[in-house]
Amino acid sequence: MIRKLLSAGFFLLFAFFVYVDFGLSVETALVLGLALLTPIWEPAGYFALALLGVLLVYRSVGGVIGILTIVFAINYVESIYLAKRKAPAEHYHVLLAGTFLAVPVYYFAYLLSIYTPSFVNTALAAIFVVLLYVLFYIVVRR
Amino acid sequence: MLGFGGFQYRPSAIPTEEEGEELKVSPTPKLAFYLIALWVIPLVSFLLLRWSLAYLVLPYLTLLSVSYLFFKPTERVELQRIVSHDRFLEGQEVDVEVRVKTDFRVDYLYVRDLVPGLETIGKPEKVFSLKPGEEGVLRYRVKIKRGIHRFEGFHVSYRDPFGFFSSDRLVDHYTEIVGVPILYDVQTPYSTKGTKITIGPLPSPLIGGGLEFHAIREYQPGDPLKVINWKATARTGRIMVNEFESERKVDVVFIVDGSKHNEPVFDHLIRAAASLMLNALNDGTSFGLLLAERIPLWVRVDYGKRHFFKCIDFLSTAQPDENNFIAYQVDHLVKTSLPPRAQVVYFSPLITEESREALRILARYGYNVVVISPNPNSLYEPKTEEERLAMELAQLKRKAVLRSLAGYGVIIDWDLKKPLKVAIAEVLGK
Repeated sequence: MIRKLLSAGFFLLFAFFVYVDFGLSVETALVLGLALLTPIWEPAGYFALALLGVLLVYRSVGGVIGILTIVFAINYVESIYLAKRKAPAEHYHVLLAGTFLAVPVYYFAYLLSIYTPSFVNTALAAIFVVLLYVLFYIVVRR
Repeated sequence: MLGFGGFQYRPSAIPTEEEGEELKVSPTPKLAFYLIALWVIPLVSFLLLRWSLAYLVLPYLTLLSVSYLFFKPTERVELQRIVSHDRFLEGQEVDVEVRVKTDFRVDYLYVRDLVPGLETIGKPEKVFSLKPGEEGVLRYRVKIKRGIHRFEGFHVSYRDPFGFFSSDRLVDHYTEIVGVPILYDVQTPYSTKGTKITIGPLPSPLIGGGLEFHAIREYQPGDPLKVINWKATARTGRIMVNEFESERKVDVVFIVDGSKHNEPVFDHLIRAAASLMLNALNDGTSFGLLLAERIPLWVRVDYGKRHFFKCIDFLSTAQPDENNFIAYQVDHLVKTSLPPRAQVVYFSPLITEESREALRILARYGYNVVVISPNPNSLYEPKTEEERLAMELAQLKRKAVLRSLAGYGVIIDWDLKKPLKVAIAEVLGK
Protein backbone atom coordinates (compact mmCIF):
# COMPACT_ATOMS: atom_id res chain seq x y z
CA MET A 1 0.00 0.00 0.00
CA ILE A 2 2.82 2.39 0.95
CA ARG A 3 4.48 1.63 -2.39
CA LYS A 4 1.29 2.49 -4.27
CA LEU A 5 0.91 5.70 -2.28
CA LEU A 6 4.49 6.59 -3.10
CA SER A 7 3.80 6.00 -6.81
CA ALA A 8 0.70 8.18 -6.54
CA GLY A 9 2.78 10.89 -4.83
CA PHE A 10 5.37 10.79 -7.61
CA PHE A 11 2.60 11.03 -10.17
CA LEU A 12 1.13 14.11 -8.49
CA LEU A 13 4.52 15.83 -8.45
CA PHE A 14 5.14 14.78 -12.07
CA ALA A 15 1.68 16.08 -13.05
CA PHE A 16 2.36 19.37 -11.23
CA PHE A 17 5.61 19.93 -13.10
CA VAL A 18 4.04 18.98 -16.44
CA TYR A 19 1.31 21.54 -15.68
CA VAL A 20 3.97 24.15 -14.85
CA ASP A 21 5.74 23.34 -18.13
CA PHE A 22 2.79 23.19 -20.53
CA GLY A 23 -0.23 24.54 -18.63
CA LEU A 24 -3.66 23.12 -19.39
CA SER A 25 -2.99 21.87 -22.88
CA VAL A 26 -3.19 18.89 -25.19
CA GLU A 27 0.49 18.15 -24.44
CA THR A 28 -0.24 17.82 -20.72
CA ALA A 29 -3.20 15.56 -21.37
CA LEU A 30 -1.21 13.36 -23.76
CA VAL A 31 1.79 12.93 -21.46
CA LEU A 32 -0.26 12.32 -18.31
CA GLY A 33 -2.74 10.10 -20.14
CA LEU A 34 0.06 7.87 -21.40
CA ALA A 35 1.73 7.90 -17.98
CA LEU A 36 -1.51 6.77 -16.34
CA LEU A 37 -1.42 3.61 -18.45
CA THR A 38 1.88 2.54 -16.86
CA PRO A 39 0.37 0.39 -14.08
CA ILE A 40 -1.47 -1.62 -16.75
CA TRP A 41 1.23 -1.64 -19.43
CA GLU A 42 4.76 -0.75 -18.38
CA PRO A 43 6.11 0.35 -21.83
CA ALA A 44 3.46 3.11 -21.82
CA GLY A 45 5.52 4.82 -19.11
CA TYR A 46 8.58 4.90 -21.35
CA PHE A 47 6.54 6.20 -24.27
CA ALA A 48 5.28 8.95 -21.94
CA LEU A 49 8.89 9.72 -20.99
CA ALA A 50 9.93 9.86 -24.65
CA LEU A 51 6.99 12.13 -25.49
CA LEU A 52 7.81 14.34 -22.52
CA GLY A 53 11.43 14.63 -23.72
CA VAL A 54 10.31 15.64 -27.23
CA LEU A 55 7.81 18.20 -25.89
CA LEU A 56 10.29 19.72 -23.41
CA VAL A 57 12.82 20.26 -26.20
CA TYR A 58 10.13 21.44 -28.65
CA ARG A 59 8.76 23.96 -26.14
CA SER A 60 12.30 24.86 -25.02
CA VAL A 61 11.51 24.03 -21.41
CA GLY A 62 14.85 23.51 -19.78
CA GLY A 63 16.60 24.56 -16.62
CA VAL A 64 16.01 23.01 -13.27
CA ILE A 65 12.25 22.86 -13.95
CA GLY A 66 12.81 20.69 -17.01
CA ILE A 67 15.24 18.49 -15.11
CA LEU A 68 12.82 18.09 -12.18
CA THR A 69 9.96 17.26 -14.57
CA ILE A 70 12.01 14.41 -15.98
CA VAL A 71 13.21 13.38 -12.50
CA PHE A 72 9.65 12.98 -11.23
CA ALA A 73 8.53 11.33 -14.46
CA ILE A 74 11.29 8.73 -14.11
CA ASN A 75 10.53 8.34 -10.41
CA TYR A 76 6.89 7.70 -11.21
CA VAL A 77 7.55 5.13 -13.96
CA GLU A 78 10.23 3.29 -11.99
CA SER A 79 8.22 3.35 -8.76
CA ILE A 80 5.43 1.49 -10.58
CA TYR A 81 8.01 -1.11 -11.61
CA LEU A 82 9.32 -1.36 -8.04
CA ALA A 83 5.84 -1.50 -6.50
CA LYS A 84 4.82 -4.39 -8.77
CA ARG A 85 7.84 -6.36 -7.57
CA LYS A 86 7.40 -5.37 -3.93
CA ALA A 87 10.88 -3.94 -3.88
CA PRO A 88 12.51 -3.07 -0.54
CA ALA A 89 12.97 0.51 0.66
CA GLU A 90 16.64 0.46 -0.41
CA HIS A 91 15.62 0.32 -4.06
CA TYR A 92 13.57 3.46 -3.62
CA HIS A 93 16.57 5.12 -2.01
CA VAL A 94 18.70 4.17 -5.01
CA LEU A 95 16.01 5.51 -7.33
CA LEU A 96 15.81 8.85 -5.53
CA ALA A 97 19.58 9.17 -5.25
CA GLY A 98 20.08 8.19 -8.89
CA THR A 99 17.59 10.65 -10.32
CA PHE A 100 18.15 13.61 -7.98
CA LEU A 101 21.87 13.35 -8.58
CA ALA A 102 21.05 15.01 -11.91
CA VAL A 103 20.25 18.32 -10.12
CA PRO A 104 23.73 18.96 -8.64
CA VAL A 105 25.30 17.70 -11.87
CA TYR A 106 23.15 20.16 -13.78
CA TYR A 107 24.18 23.05 -11.50
CA PHE A 108 27.80 22.02 -11.83
CA ALA A 109 27.51 22.15 -15.62
CA TYR A 110 25.61 25.42 -15.35
CA LEU A 111 28.35 27.01 -13.23
CA LEU A 112 30.93 25.67 -15.62
CA SER A 113 29.14 27.29 -18.55
CA ILE A 114 29.07 30.73 -16.80
CA TYR A 115 32.81 30.79 -16.30
CA THR A 116 33.85 29.39 -19.66
CA PRO A 117 33.63 30.92 -23.15
CA SER A 118 30.76 29.82 -25.41
CA PHE A 119 33.07 27.92 -27.77
CA VAL A 120 34.22 25.78 -24.86
CA ASN A 121 30.55 25.18 -23.99
CA THR A 122 29.94 23.85 -27.51
CA ALA A 123 32.99 21.65 -27.25
CA LEU A 124 31.80 20.44 -23.82
CA ALA A 125 28.35 19.61 -25.24
CA ALA A 126 29.95 17.69 -28.12
CA ILE A 127 32.23 15.79 -25.73
CA PHE A 128 29.22 15.14 -23.51
CA VAL A 129 27.30 13.55 -26.38
CA VAL A 130 30.30 11.45 -27.42
CA LEU A 131 30.77 10.31 -23.82
CA LEU A 132 27.09 9.47 -23.68
CA TYR A 133 27.44 7.29 -26.73
CA VAL A 134 30.59 5.59 -25.41
CA LEU A 135 28.91 4.89 -22.07
CA PHE A 136 25.95 3.16 -23.69
CA TYR A 137 28.20 1.26 -26.02
CA ILE A 138 30.08 -0.11 -23.01
CA VAL A 139 26.90 -0.78 -21.03
CA VAL A 140 25.16 -2.65 -23.81
CA ARG A 141 28.23 -4.62 -24.91
CA ARG A 142 29.22 -5.55 -21.36
CA MET B 1 9.60 -38.17 9.95
CA LEU B 2 7.44 -41.11 8.98
CA GLY B 3 6.09 -41.44 5.51
CA PHE B 4 3.67 -43.65 3.73
CA GLY B 5 3.10 -46.94 5.55
CA GLY B 6 5.42 -46.01 8.39
CA PHE B 7 8.56 -46.10 6.27
CA GLN B 8 11.31 -43.67 6.98
CA TYR B 9 12.02 -41.11 4.27
CA ARG B 10 14.97 -38.89 3.76
CA PRO B 11 14.44 -35.22 2.91
CA SER B 12 15.78 -34.16 -0.44
CA ALA B 13 17.98 -31.38 0.77
CA ILE B 14 21.18 -31.28 -1.19
CA PRO B 15 22.72 -27.83 -1.18
CA THR B 16 24.02 -26.75 -4.53
CA GLU B 17 26.49 -23.98 -4.94
CA GLU B 18 27.22 -22.09 -8.04
CA GLU B 19 30.70 -22.47 -9.37
CA GLY B 20 32.86 -19.45 -9.98
CA GLU B 21 32.16 -19.44 -13.67
CA GLU B 22 32.09 -16.38 -15.93
CA LEU B 23 28.70 -14.72 -15.77
CA LYS B 24 27.04 -13.48 -18.91
CA VAL B 25 25.35 -10.14 -18.43
CA SER B 26 22.73 -9.04 -20.87
CA PRO B 27 20.60 -5.91 -21.21
CA THR B 28 16.90 -6.47 -20.61
CA PRO B 29 14.05 -5.36 -22.90
CA LYS B 30 13.30 -2.77 -20.28
CA LEU B 31 16.67 -1.12 -20.89
CA ALA B 32 15.76 -0.80 -24.59
CA PHE B 33 12.65 1.22 -23.69
CA TYR B 34 14.67 3.30 -21.26
CA LEU B 35 17.29 4.05 -23.91
CA ILE B 36 14.62 5.02 -26.42
CA ALA B 37 13.19 7.54 -23.93
CA LEU B 38 16.72 8.82 -23.30
CA TRP B 39 17.99 9.09 -26.87
CA VAL B 40 14.92 10.93 -28.05
CA ILE B 41 16.13 14.03 -26.13
CA PRO B 42 19.60 14.52 -27.76
CA LEU B 43 18.18 13.56 -31.17
CA VAL B 44 15.33 16.08 -31.02
CA SER B 45 17.66 18.69 -29.52
CA PHE B 46 19.99 18.43 -32.47
CA LEU B 47 17.18 18.21 -35.02
CA LEU B 48 15.52 21.38 -33.68
CA LEU B 49 18.92 23.10 -33.21
CA ARG B 50 18.33 23.35 -29.48
CA TRP B 51 21.33 21.26 -28.63
CA SER B 52 21.84 23.07 -25.33
CA LEU B 53 18.78 21.17 -24.02
CA ALA B 54 20.64 17.88 -24.39
CA TYR B 55 21.38 18.18 -20.67
CA LEU B 56 17.80 17.01 -20.04
CA VAL B 57 19.19 13.48 -20.33
CA LEU B 58 21.02 14.00 -17.04
CA PRO B 59 18.41 12.26 -14.81
CA TYR B 60 18.42 9.24 -17.12
CA LEU B 61 22.17 9.19 -17.16
CA THR B 62 22.67 9.45 -13.42
CA LEU B 63 20.08 6.76 -12.66
CA LEU B 64 21.60 4.39 -15.21
CA SER B 65 25.10 5.00 -13.82
CA VAL B 66 23.97 4.33 -10.24
CA SER B 67 22.11 1.21 -11.34
CA TYR B 68 25.16 0.03 -13.26
CA LEU B 69 27.37 0.52 -10.22
CA PHE B 70 25.02 -1.54 -8.06
CA PHE B 71 25.08 -4.47 -10.44
CA LYS B 72 27.83 -6.94 -9.48
CA PRO B 73 26.65 -10.49 -10.04
CA THR B 74 29.97 -12.13 -9.31
CA GLU B 75 29.43 -13.78 -5.96
CA ARG B 76 28.02 -17.12 -4.83
CA VAL B 77 24.41 -18.08 -4.36
CA GLU B 78 23.44 -21.15 -2.36
CA LEU B 79 20.15 -22.84 -3.20
CA GLN B 80 18.40 -25.66 -1.44
CA ARG B 81 15.07 -27.32 -2.12
CA ILE B 82 13.36 -29.09 0.76
CA VAL B 83 10.49 -31.53 0.40
CA SER B 84 9.44 -33.44 3.52
CA HIS B 85 9.19 -36.92 1.93
CA ASP B 86 9.99 -38.52 -1.37
CA ARG B 87 6.73 -40.44 -1.76
CA PHE B 88 3.28 -38.88 -1.76
CA LEU B 89 -0.19 -40.09 -2.60
CA GLU B 90 -1.46 -38.78 -5.91
CA GLY B 91 -3.72 -35.76 -5.50
CA GLN B 92 -1.94 -34.72 -2.33
CA GLU B 93 -0.75 -31.14 -2.02
CA VAL B 94 2.91 -31.02 -1.12
CA ASP B 95 4.83 -28.13 0.40
CA VAL B 96 8.03 -27.25 -1.40
CA GLU B 97 10.47 -24.91 0.25
CA VAL B 98 13.37 -23.28 -1.56
CA ARG B 99 16.04 -21.62 0.54
CA VAL B 100 18.28 -19.02 -0.98
CA LYS B 101 21.40 -17.74 0.68
CA THR B 102 24.09 -15.39 -0.56
CA ASP B 103 27.35 -14.21 0.93
CA PHE B 104 26.96 -10.76 -0.59
CA ARG B 105 24.32 -8.09 -0.73
CA VAL B 106 21.85 -8.69 -3.51
CA ASP B 107 19.07 -6.28 -4.38
CA TYR B 108 17.23 -8.29 -6.98
CA LEU B 109 17.59 -12.03 -7.22
CA TYR B 110 14.86 -13.76 -9.16
CA VAL B 111 14.57 -17.49 -8.47
CA ARG B 112 12.20 -19.78 -10.34
CA ASP B 113 11.97 -23.43 -9.45
CA LEU B 114 11.76 -25.66 -12.52
CA VAL B 115 8.63 -27.64 -11.68
CA PRO B 116 8.23 -30.81 -13.75
CA GLY B 117 4.72 -30.54 -15.20
CA LEU B 118 2.83 -30.48 -11.93
CA GLU B 119 0.00 -28.16 -11.01
CA THR B 120 1.35 -25.52 -8.65
CA ILE B 121 -0.52 -23.68 -5.93
CA GLY B 122 1.26 -20.39 -5.47
CA LYS B 123 3.98 -19.23 -7.83
CA PRO B 124 7.20 -21.27 -7.86
CA GLU B 125 9.14 -18.03 -8.28
CA LYS B 126 10.12 -15.10 -6.14
CA VAL B 127 12.29 -12.03 -6.16
CA PHE B 128 14.67 -11.80 -3.23
CA SER B 129 16.52 -8.88 -1.77
CA LEU B 130 19.11 -10.25 0.63
CA LYS B 131 21.85 -9.04 2.93
CA PRO B 132 25.11 -11.00 3.23
CA GLY B 133 24.38 -14.30 5.00
CA GLU B 134 20.63 -13.68 5.08
CA GLU B 135 18.43 -16.54 4.00
CA GLY B 136 15.39 -16.06 1.80
CA VAL B 137 12.64 -18.63 1.52
CA LEU B 138 10.31 -19.37 -1.37
CA ARG B 139 7.32 -21.54 -0.52
CA TYR B 140 4.78 -23.03 -2.85
CA ARG B 141 2.72 -26.17 -3.16
CA VAL B 142 2.43 -28.76 -5.90
CA LYS B 143 -0.41 -31.14 -6.56
CA ILE B 144 1.08 -34.58 -7.00
CA LYS B 145 0.23 -36.81 -9.92
CA ARG B 146 1.09 -40.49 -10.08
CA GLY B 147 4.60 -41.14 -11.37
CA ILE B 148 8.14 -39.96 -10.86
CA HIS B 149 8.57 -36.21 -10.82
CA ARG B 150 12.05 -34.85 -11.24
CA PHE B 151 12.85 -31.32 -10.17
CA GLU B 152 15.98 -30.61 -12.18
CA GLY B 153 17.04 -27.21 -10.89
CA PHE B 154 16.40 -23.50 -10.70
CA HIS B 155 16.36 -20.61 -13.07
CA VAL B 156 18.24 -17.83 -11.33
CA SER B 157 18.30 -14.33 -12.64
CA TYR B 158 20.25 -11.60 -10.95
CA ARG B 159 19.18 -8.09 -11.84
CA ASP B 160 19.98 -4.58 -10.85
CA PRO B 161 17.24 -2.87 -8.79
CA PHE B 162 15.54 -1.44 -11.87
CA GLY B 163 15.85 -4.45 -14.13
CA PHE B 164 18.12 -2.85 -16.72
CA PHE B 165 20.68 -5.67 -16.76
CA SER B 166 20.32 -9.30 -15.98
CA SER B 167 22.51 -12.31 -15.51
CA ASP B 168 20.60 -15.54 -16.07
CA ARG B 169 21.67 -19.08 -15.37
CA LEU B 170 20.32 -22.53 -14.67
CA VAL B 171 21.43 -24.05 -11.39
CA ASP B 172 21.28 -27.84 -11.17
CA HIS B 173 19.58 -29.19 -8.09
CA TYR B 174 17.90 -32.56 -8.26
CA THR B 175 14.93 -33.68 -6.22
CA GLU B 176 12.80 -36.68 -7.05
CA ILE B 177 9.25 -37.13 -5.84
CA VAL B 178 7.26 -40.28 -6.44
CA GLY B 179 3.49 -39.93 -6.67
CA VAL B 180 2.06 -43.23 -5.47
CA PRO B 181 -1.46 -44.27 -6.50
CA ILE B 182 -4.46 -43.59 -4.29
CA LEU B 183 -5.50 -46.64 -2.32
CA TYR B 184 -9.17 -47.54 -2.22
CA ASP B 185 -10.86 -49.45 0.53
CA VAL B 186 -11.64 -52.82 -1.10
CA GLN B 187 -12.75 -56.29 -0.18
CA THR B 188 -10.91 -59.37 -1.34
CA PRO B 189 -12.51 -60.48 -4.62
CA TYR B 190 -11.10 -64.02 -4.46
CA SER B 191 -10.71 -66.83 -1.99
CA THR B 192 -7.42 -66.62 -0.14
CA LYS B 193 -7.63 -70.28 0.85
CA GLY B 194 -5.74 -72.65 -1.35
CA THR B 195 -2.85 -75.01 -1.60
CA LYS B 196 0.52 -74.56 -3.08
CA ILE B 197 3.05 -77.20 -3.91
CA THR B 198 6.54 -76.49 -2.77
CA ILE B 199 9.83 -78.14 -2.27
CA GLY B 200 12.11 -77.15 0.57
CA PRO B 201 11.57 -74.12 2.77
CA LEU B 202 8.37 -72.19 2.13
CA PRO B 203 8.53 -68.40 2.41
CA SER B 204 5.76 -67.60 4.81
CA PRO B 205 4.76 -64.83 7.19
CA LEU B 206 3.54 -67.46 9.63
CA ILE B 207 5.71 -69.34 12.10
CA GLY B 208 5.75 -73.12 11.93
CA GLY B 209 5.86 -75.86 9.34
CA GLY B 210 2.34 -76.40 8.10
CA LEU B 211 3.56 -78.56 5.23
CA GLU B 212 1.83 -81.78 4.26
CA PHE B 213 3.36 -84.55 2.16
CA HIS B 214 2.07 -84.28 -1.40
CA ALA B 215 4.03 -86.59 -3.74
CA ILE B 216 7.39 -88.04 -4.69
CA ARG B 217 9.17 -86.88 -7.78
CA GLU B 218 12.59 -87.09 -9.34
CA TYR B 219 15.37 -84.89 -8.01
CA GLN B 220 16.00 -81.70 -9.91
CA PRO B 221 19.10 -79.55 -9.61
CA GLY B 222 18.60 -76.96 -6.87
CA ASP B 223 16.47 -79.18 -4.63
CA PRO B 224 17.80 -79.24 -1.04
CA LEU B 225 19.45 -82.48 0.08
CA LYS B 226 17.26 -82.89 3.16
CA VAL B 227 14.14 -83.49 1.03
CA ILE B 228 15.65 -86.56 -0.71
CA ASN B 229 13.55 -89.62 -0.09
CA TRP B 230 16.26 -92.26 0.40
CA LYS B 231 13.91 -95.21 0.47
CA ALA B 232 12.31 -94.27 -2.84
CA THR B 233 15.77 -93.58 -4.25
CA ALA B 234 16.95 -97.07 -3.30
CA ARG B 235 13.81 -98.62 -4.69
CA THR B 236 13.82 -96.87 -8.03
CA GLY B 237 17.53 -96.41 -8.59
CA ARG B 238 17.01 -92.70 -9.29
CA ILE B 239 17.28 -89.84 -6.80
CA MET B 240 13.77 -89.05 -5.62
CA VAL B 241 12.57 -86.20 -3.46
CA ASN B 242 9.49 -85.51 -1.38
CA GLU B 243 7.14 -82.79 -2.54
CA PHE B 244 5.06 -80.90 -0.02
CA GLU B 245 1.82 -79.09 -0.09
CA SER B 246 0.97 -76.08 2.03
CA GLU B 247 -2.60 -75.61 3.15
CA ARG B 248 -2.09 -71.99 3.57
CA LYS B 249 -3.04 -68.94 1.62
CA VAL B 250 -2.89 -68.91 -2.09
CA ASP B 251 -0.29 -67.00 -4.11
CA VAL B 252 -1.82 -63.98 -5.79
CA VAL B 253 -0.44 -62.61 -9.03
CA PHE B 254 -1.48 -59.19 -10.23
CA ILE B 255 -1.29 -58.62 -13.96
CA VAL B 256 -1.69 -55.05 -15.18
CA ASP B 257 -2.39 -54.44 -18.85
CA GLY B 258 -0.14 -51.51 -19.80
CA SER B 259 -1.38 -51.05 -23.34
CA LYS B 260 -1.63 -47.52 -24.73
CA HIS B 261 -5.27 -48.19 -25.58
CA ASN B 262 -5.98 -48.21 -21.85
CA GLU B 263 -4.75 -44.66 -21.35
CA PRO B 264 -8.11 -43.14 -20.31
CA VAL B 265 -8.53 -45.66 -17.48
CA PHE B 266 -4.89 -46.36 -16.75
CA ASP B 267 -4.79 -44.45 -13.47
CA HIS B 268 -7.85 -46.39 -12.31
CA LEU B 269 -6.17 -49.67 -13.25
CA ILE B 270 -3.12 -48.76 -11.23
CA ARG B 271 -5.16 -47.58 -8.23
CA ALA B 272 -7.16 -50.80 -8.25
CA ALA B 273 -3.98 -52.90 -8.47
CA ALA B 274 -2.35 -50.96 -5.62
CA SER B 275 -5.49 -51.23 -3.48
CA LEU B 276 -5.79 -54.98 -3.96
CA MET B 277 -2.08 -55.32 -3.31
CA LEU B 278 -2.51 -53.56 0.04
CA ASN B 279 -5.45 -55.86 0.69
CA ALA B 280 -3.21 -58.86 -0.01
CA LEU B 281 -0.54 -57.45 2.28
CA ASN B 282 -3.06 -57.03 5.09
CA ASP B 283 -4.34 -60.58 4.50
CA GLY B 284 -0.81 -61.94 4.76
CA THR B 285 -1.01 -63.33 1.26
CA SER B 286 2.06 -63.66 -0.94
CA PHE B 287 1.78 -61.75 -4.18
CA GLY B 288 3.62 -61.01 -7.38
CA LEU B 289 3.19 -58.45 -10.12
CA LEU B 290 3.38 -58.48 -13.89
CA LEU B 291 3.37 -55.00 -15.35
CA ALA B 292 2.69 -55.74 -18.99
CA GLU B 293 4.31 -52.73 -20.61
CA ARG B 294 6.27 -52.89 -23.86
CA ILE B 295 9.14 -54.29 -21.82
CA PRO B 296 7.31 -56.42 -19.25
CA LEU B 297 8.21 -56.13 -15.63
CA TRP B 298 7.86 -59.20 -13.45
CA VAL B 299 8.15 -59.00 -9.66
CA ARG B 300 8.19 -62.53 -8.32
CA VAL B 301 5.84 -63.70 -5.60
CA ASP B 302 6.91 -62.69 -2.13
CA TYR B 303 5.59 -61.42 1.19
CA GLY B 304 5.87 -58.35 3.30
CA LYS B 305 5.97 -54.59 3.41
CA ARG B 306 9.30 -54.26 1.66
CA HIS B 307 7.96 -56.30 -1.23
CA PHE B 308 4.75 -54.28 -1.21
CA PHE B 309 6.64 -50.98 -1.49
CA LYS B 310 8.77 -52.40 -4.27
CA CYS B 311 5.62 -53.26 -6.23
CA ILE B 312 4.03 -49.89 -5.40
CA ASP B 313 7.11 -48.09 -6.74
CA PHE B 314 6.77 -49.95 -10.03
CA LEU B 315 3.05 -49.20 -10.17
CA SER B 316 3.73 -45.54 -9.42
CA THR B 317 6.02 -45.17 -12.39
CA ALA B 318 3.99 -47.28 -14.82
CA GLN B 319 2.97 -45.57 -18.03
CA PRO B 320 0.82 -46.98 -20.82
CA ASP B 321 2.83 -47.61 -23.96
CA GLU B 322 2.79 -49.41 -27.29
CA ASN B 323 2.33 -52.90 -25.99
CA ASN B 324 0.53 -55.37 -28.22
CA PHE B 325 2.18 -58.45 -26.76
CA ILE B 326 0.38 -59.00 -23.49
CA ALA B 327 -0.94 -62.41 -24.60
CA TYR B 328 2.60 -63.49 -25.47
CA GLN B 329 3.95 -62.06 -22.21
CA VAL B 330 1.30 -63.85 -20.14
CA ASP B 331 1.89 -67.09 -22.05
CA HIS B 332 5.62 -66.83 -21.40
CA LEU B 333 5.04 -66.04 -17.71
CA VAL B 334 2.72 -69.00 -17.28
CA LYS B 335 5.32 -71.32 -18.78
CA THR B 336 8.27 -69.97 -16.84
CA SER B 337 7.49 -68.16 -13.60
CA LEU B 338 3.83 -68.16 -12.61
CA PRO B 339 3.32 -70.32 -9.50
CA PRO B 340 0.96 -73.26 -10.06
CA ARG B 341 -2.55 -72.86 -8.64
CA ALA B 342 -1.96 -69.14 -8.14
CA GLN B 343 -4.88 -66.77 -7.99
CA VAL B 344 -4.55 -64.27 -10.82
CA VAL B 345 -6.04 -60.80 -10.59
CA TYR B 346 -6.00 -59.29 -14.04
CA PHE B 347 -6.44 -55.53 -14.45
CA SER B 348 -7.55 -54.65 -17.94
CA PRO B 349 -10.48 -52.88 -19.60
CA LEU B 350 -10.36 -55.77 -22.13
CA ILE B 351 -10.65 -53.45 -25.09
CA THR B 352 -7.95 -55.10 -27.20
CA GLU B 353 -8.05 -58.61 -28.64
CA GLU B 354 -4.59 -59.20 -27.16
CA SER B 355 -5.80 -58.46 -23.63
CA ARG B 356 -8.76 -60.81 -24.10
CA GLU B 357 -6.44 -63.52 -25.45
CA ALA B 358 -4.29 -63.16 -22.32
CA LEU B 359 -7.34 -63.93 -20.20
CA ARG B 360 -8.13 -66.99 -22.31
CA ILE B 361 -4.53 -68.23 -21.92
CA LEU B 362 -4.69 -67.90 -18.13
CA ALA B 363 -7.98 -69.79 -18.01
CA ARG B 364 -6.64 -72.46 -20.39
CA TYR B 365 -3.79 -73.18 -17.99
CA GLY B 366 -6.27 -73.61 -15.18
CA TYR B 367 -5.68 -70.45 -13.21
CA ASN B 368 -8.46 -68.85 -11.23
CA VAL B 369 -8.75 -65.37 -12.69
CA VAL B 370 -10.55 -62.34 -11.37
CA VAL B 371 -10.64 -59.52 -13.88
CA ILE B 372 -10.97 -55.96 -12.65
CA SER B 373 -12.12 -54.24 -15.80
CA PRO B 374 -12.66 -50.47 -15.57
CA ASN B 375 -15.31 -49.49 -18.05
CA PRO B 376 -13.90 -46.70 -20.28
CA ASN B 377 -17.41 -45.81 -21.44
CA SER B 378 -18.34 -44.74 -17.91
CA LEU B 379 -15.85 -41.86 -18.15
CA TYR B 380 -17.86 -40.05 -20.80
CA GLU B 381 -21.06 -38.18 -20.27
CA PRO B 382 -23.15 -37.95 -23.46
CA LYS B 383 -24.28 -34.41 -24.22
CA THR B 384 -26.56 -34.93 -27.19
CA GLU B 385 -29.12 -37.54 -28.15
CA GLU B 386 -26.76 -38.90 -30.83
CA GLU B 387 -23.96 -39.25 -28.32
CA ARG B 388 -26.28 -41.01 -25.91
CA LEU B 389 -27.28 -43.51 -28.60
CA ALA B 390 -23.63 -44.03 -29.56
CA MET B 391 -22.75 -44.63 -25.91
CA GLU B 392 -25.54 -47.16 -25.57
CA LEU B 393 -24.25 -49.01 -28.62
CA ALA B 394 -20.70 -48.97 -27.25
CA GLN B 395 -21.99 -50.22 -23.93
CA LEU B 396 -23.92 -53.05 -25.60
CA LYS B 397 -20.82 -54.05 -27.52
CA ARG B 398 -18.80 -54.11 -24.31
CA LYS B 399 -21.44 -56.18 -22.54
CA ALA B 400 -21.36 -58.71 -25.40
CA VAL B 401 -17.56 -58.92 -25.22
CA LEU B 402 -17.58 -59.40 -21.45
CA ARG B 403 -20.32 -62.03 -21.72
CA SER B 404 -18.25 -63.98 -24.24
CA LEU B 405 -15.36 -63.95 -21.75
CA ALA B 406 -17.44 -64.84 -18.70
CA GLY B 407 -16.38 -68.49 -18.86
CA TYR B 408 -12.71 -67.62 -18.41
CA GLY B 409 -12.93 -65.91 -15.06
CA VAL B 410 -14.87 -63.64 -12.75
CA ILE B 411 -15.14 -60.32 -14.54
CA ILE B 412 -15.82 -57.24 -12.47
CA ASP B 413 -17.12 -54.60 -14.87
CA TRP B 414 -16.20 -51.48 -12.94
CA ASP B 415 -18.37 -48.44 -13.60
CA LEU B 416 -15.87 -45.71 -12.73
CA LYS B 417 -18.59 -43.52 -11.25
CA LYS B 418 -18.89 -46.05 -8.44
CA PRO B 419 -16.28 -47.01 -5.86
CA LEU B 420 -14.33 -50.20 -6.61
CA LYS B 421 -15.66 -51.77 -3.42
CA VAL B 422 -19.24 -51.42 -4.69
CA ALA B 423 -18.30 -52.85 -8.13
CA ILE B 424 -16.74 -55.90 -6.48
CA ALA B 425 -19.68 -56.37 -4.13
CA GLU B 426 -22.15 -56.17 -7.04
CA VAL B 427 -20.43 -59.04 -8.83
CA LEU B 428 -19.55 -61.20 -5.86
CA GLY B 429 -22.86 -60.51 -4.13
CA LYS B 430 -21.27 -59.77 -0.78
